Amino acid sequence: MILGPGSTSSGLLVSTALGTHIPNEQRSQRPSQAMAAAKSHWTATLPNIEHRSSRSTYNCMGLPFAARRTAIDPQHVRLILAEDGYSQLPGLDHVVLGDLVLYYDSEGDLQHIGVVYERYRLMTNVGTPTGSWRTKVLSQWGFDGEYVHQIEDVPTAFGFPAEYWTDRL
Amino acid sequence: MTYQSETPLEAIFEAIEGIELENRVNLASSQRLFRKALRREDAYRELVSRAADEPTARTIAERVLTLSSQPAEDGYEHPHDTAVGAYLAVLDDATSPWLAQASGWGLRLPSGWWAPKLARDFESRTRVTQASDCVFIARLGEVTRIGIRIESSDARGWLFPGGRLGSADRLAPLRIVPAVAARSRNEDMAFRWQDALIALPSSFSTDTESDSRVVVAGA
Repeated sequence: MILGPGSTSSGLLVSTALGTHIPNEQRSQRPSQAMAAAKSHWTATLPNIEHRSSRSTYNCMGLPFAARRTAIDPQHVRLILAEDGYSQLPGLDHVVLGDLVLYYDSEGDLQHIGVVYERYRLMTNVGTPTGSWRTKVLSQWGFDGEYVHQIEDVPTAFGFPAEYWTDRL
Repeated sequence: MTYQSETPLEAIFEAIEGIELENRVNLASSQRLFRKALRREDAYRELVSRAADEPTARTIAERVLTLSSQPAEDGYEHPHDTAVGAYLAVLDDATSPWLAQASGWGLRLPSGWWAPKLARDFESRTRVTQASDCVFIARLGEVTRIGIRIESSDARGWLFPGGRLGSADRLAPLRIVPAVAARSRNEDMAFRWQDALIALPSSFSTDTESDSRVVVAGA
């Protein structure tokens, strides 16, 4: 992903590593009351999540692919992953910090994307590591603000984590 | 809350304009997902079913006008963008002729996001065809209107200044005249009526179609 100077008529100059323009559009900041309500709603619904930001000018795609500057339609994800040199990982066990998690709903629509933020091994009561890992994700929830959350701790509308991608070589 | 046929319309409006629905549907990261999120909402589905009723659709369109007439705070998105977008989607899903007028207001919503997107989407689906060289002139009560016949990929109707009004069976044109002649006589009139369509009567007789060039007046 490359951010260039200036902007197009409908968004910033954002392109893939290969130079293909990525259509994008900045949303205005939603009113403070609306963002405060969104934070209250989601932290009450999912009490283990951690609110990070109430900016609404970018979406989940804009966080990893445009440095939080603008919103990108999820329909462009395949183009970006391909032209930015991402490769798909075989499963959650292979992710490390900075990798991407893609969430799909039951109808196969890409609903959400997040960045792996933390990985840690679960411990037994006596402090020895188990074979289970927990994964935390950092993601922008639509235009409702940014949250740190367990990978499965998302609104039902987002569906389930289904694909894992990395730009690592 | 479950929304059923007995639920007062005002209660459904309250839900559509409420913060809880706004929170849920603003999880959507694209227009397509926004509409998908709306269709998961009980209040939305109930309103779509009621919008098949012309007076209800008209009330929804008037609600769009009311909300979109309110100002946005400097530097912030319009406070009713989500609700206006939802109402436009309702009219679209209900294939209501009021969408044309309402989308004009949605398009002009200051600092809007969903509402202008839906309005632009509607306009992009409206394509003037060969039949547009026919101009329609109607007198409905005190109001005279002109428009051109259009066909789009999923609808057939009339294009008025400011947008499509609706399907042919909702209108009772007085007469159809060739476009060139009509434009020369009525060019000035065309722009006076674009804001008056909200006063459209709720009942129209059905017209009949004779060929691709001339739609015969039913009134």
